[in-house]
Amino acid sequence: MSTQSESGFELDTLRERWGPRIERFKRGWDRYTTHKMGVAGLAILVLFTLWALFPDVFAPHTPEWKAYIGYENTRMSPEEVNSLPHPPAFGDPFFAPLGTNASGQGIYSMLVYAAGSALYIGLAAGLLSSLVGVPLGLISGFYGDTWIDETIQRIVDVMYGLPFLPFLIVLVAIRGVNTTNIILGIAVTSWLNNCILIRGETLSLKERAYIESAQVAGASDTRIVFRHILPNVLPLAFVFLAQDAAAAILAQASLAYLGLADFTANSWGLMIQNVQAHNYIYNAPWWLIPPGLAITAIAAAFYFIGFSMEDVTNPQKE
Amino acid sequence: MASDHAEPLVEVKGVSKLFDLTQGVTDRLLGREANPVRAVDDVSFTINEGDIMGIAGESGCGKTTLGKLLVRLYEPTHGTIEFDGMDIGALTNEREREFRKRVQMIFQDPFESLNPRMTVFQSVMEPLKINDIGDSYHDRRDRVKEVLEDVGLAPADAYLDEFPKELSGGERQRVAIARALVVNPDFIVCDEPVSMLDVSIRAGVLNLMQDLQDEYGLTYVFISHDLSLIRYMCDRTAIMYLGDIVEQGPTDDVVMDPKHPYTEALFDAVPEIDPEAERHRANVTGEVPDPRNPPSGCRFHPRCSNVIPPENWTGSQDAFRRTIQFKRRVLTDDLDPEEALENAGRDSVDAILERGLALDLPEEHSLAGEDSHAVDPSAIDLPSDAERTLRRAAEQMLDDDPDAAAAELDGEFVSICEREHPEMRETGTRVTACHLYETEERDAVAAPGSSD
Repeated sequence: MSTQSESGFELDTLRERWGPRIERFKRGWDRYTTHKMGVAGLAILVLFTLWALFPDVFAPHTPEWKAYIGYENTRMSPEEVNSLPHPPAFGDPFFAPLGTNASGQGIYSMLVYAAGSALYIGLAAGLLSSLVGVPLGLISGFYGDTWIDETIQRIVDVMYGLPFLPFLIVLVAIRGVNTTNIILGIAVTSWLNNCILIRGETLSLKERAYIESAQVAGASDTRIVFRHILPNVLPLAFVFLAQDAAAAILAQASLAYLGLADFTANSWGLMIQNVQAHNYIYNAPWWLIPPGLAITAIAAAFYFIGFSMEDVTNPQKE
Repeated sequence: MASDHAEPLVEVKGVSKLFDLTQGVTDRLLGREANPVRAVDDVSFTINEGDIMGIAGESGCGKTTLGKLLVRLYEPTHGTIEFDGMDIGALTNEREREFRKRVQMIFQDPFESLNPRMTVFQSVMEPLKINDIGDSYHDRRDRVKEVLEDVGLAPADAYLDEFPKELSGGERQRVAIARALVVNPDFIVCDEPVSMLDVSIRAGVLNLMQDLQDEYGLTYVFISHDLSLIRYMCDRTAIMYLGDIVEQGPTDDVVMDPKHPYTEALFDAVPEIDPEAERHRANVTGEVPDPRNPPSGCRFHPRCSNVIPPENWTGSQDAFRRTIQFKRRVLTDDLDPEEALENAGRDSVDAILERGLALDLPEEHSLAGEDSHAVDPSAIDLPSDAERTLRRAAEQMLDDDPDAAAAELDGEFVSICEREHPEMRETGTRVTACHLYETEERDAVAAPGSSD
């Protein structure tokens, strides 16, 4: 009996504690949905996420599928090979809603299967650069004008001198062409902006009276940084995360175009690179445009979400 | 009113706070000395348990810095502050926790002093959490509700989950007060607690603070530029000028019978509500000097109406005041001969003399026929040798050689006020830092117009 009432009591406490937060989340959601841009961004992101998670549901074939021969291990006839890349085709002899590329793979299927790697690169690079840049920016700003701040800022200054592409070429030359290196390269160069902007914001926030008020109450530096300053820079950090993610996807696409990306992986950037490599830029728009649009769409989605989140989480705006 | 036998709770001993001690690169390269801002300079006073101590002064005089020193938001550059017998500059971790629990501060701006991302409940509960008071979430929640109701935010449930932006200024300041009170402190520093509030809710907040003093047994320090508020709230008052405490004592005595010329001027500056009442206006000249480069001796002497002439001065005190005003204008490059000549409309030493000896005072304190730009030197009781010196300096000004004029006057007409920093002296019920109260003879000499 007693344990039962105890757990009931616990549940009440839990409800009491979380009730207002749920309420606040609902209010935040309402505010988010008032911006069409944010909703559009979220819709695009959800679609790409679904593509990444369940590609077989959305795509008619896997990337192994070839026009005319399907999954069978035979060769195409010379006429069939000459007809590639094939414009969008329906029904017999094969089904490729966005046409095929020069080796007969369905463009639409490739597009769906590449969503995973795009999201992976975007989120991994964005999160990585936020995880490095935001804490360093917070520390640097909070201990502004001390040797800690100086050290971090001088490191940032030196890193700013690193030119992105040559650095990546060297990195790839040393560590080999693979997606992890690309993510590393992007993160190494993009945390700097995070760090500097978060530092600036922290420098201004730490002069607020509520920080002094927390100090008088006896709060430790850690508590002040993470409980009082961090929540106030998070919206900004999220905007940068979204921007970094978008920039990383674009960077990976341009690296793929330059031939610096892992060519065995499937990515939108690599698809465009292949168009160029096979010299079909002017002849096969069904091959060129869809991956380009996909890159634009996901970068835009991250930006849209970033902007909308800024509105939701900024309590000064209502 | 607190009794005179109360135990001292806070003792401030010779505390100074200097800002900008570090030199910039250019200063270091040029070999210039660091020129710090002396925000608080060698201040000593005692706050007794159960007292409300007021600290008053004009903007920029170091009141807020002093308040922040008391709660250890700043470390003093020199001197010590003792709280309940322990030196707060050298606390062990455990003692520091205790100190943080017993000392709180209420800030000026309630729109700034609450974290915009924390609810009222989170804000008020934070000190409890930091100081590890209360056993469970429910314990703390009850305590927070109790305090919120104490500060007049009832029913507390309606406020708990609000964000600061949803509250009015008065409500926010009440939340800030609740945040200070929730740990049951002994000592609260209030830094202009009502100056950002509407006049209509000020009285409510002040009365609340008085009621809470009785209920919680608090000792307050009340920092304000608003003298009527100080008069209303405080048992004892300290008056600050440029980082110095110039006078302190029981509020009634300080208000009714100010000893220090600055205190007098400060109270004269309070506007009179009754339009019929004859207003007594402050008899001071000039602006507050730069705290980076404060005047020597008594900080107030360049503006003071009662500046003490040296022993060998044969003229009147008023003449001496005008003379050092002239000297100061020449030394600080404030006297523009061309402007003086233009105003006078003629080209002569007299014009500069007239301009330099004029005081920028309210009408009631000036001589007949004087305006802020010119005064007739013959109307002033200047000793002839002093007038000769001034004329020589004026001639050099006319020759466009201000350095020679400065050299002429430098070292002349030195008052004790300029030479020596006055010590704190007991005068009746209070202590004041003014050379006027050093000896009885000086007092007689210094009384305006009593000598010539």
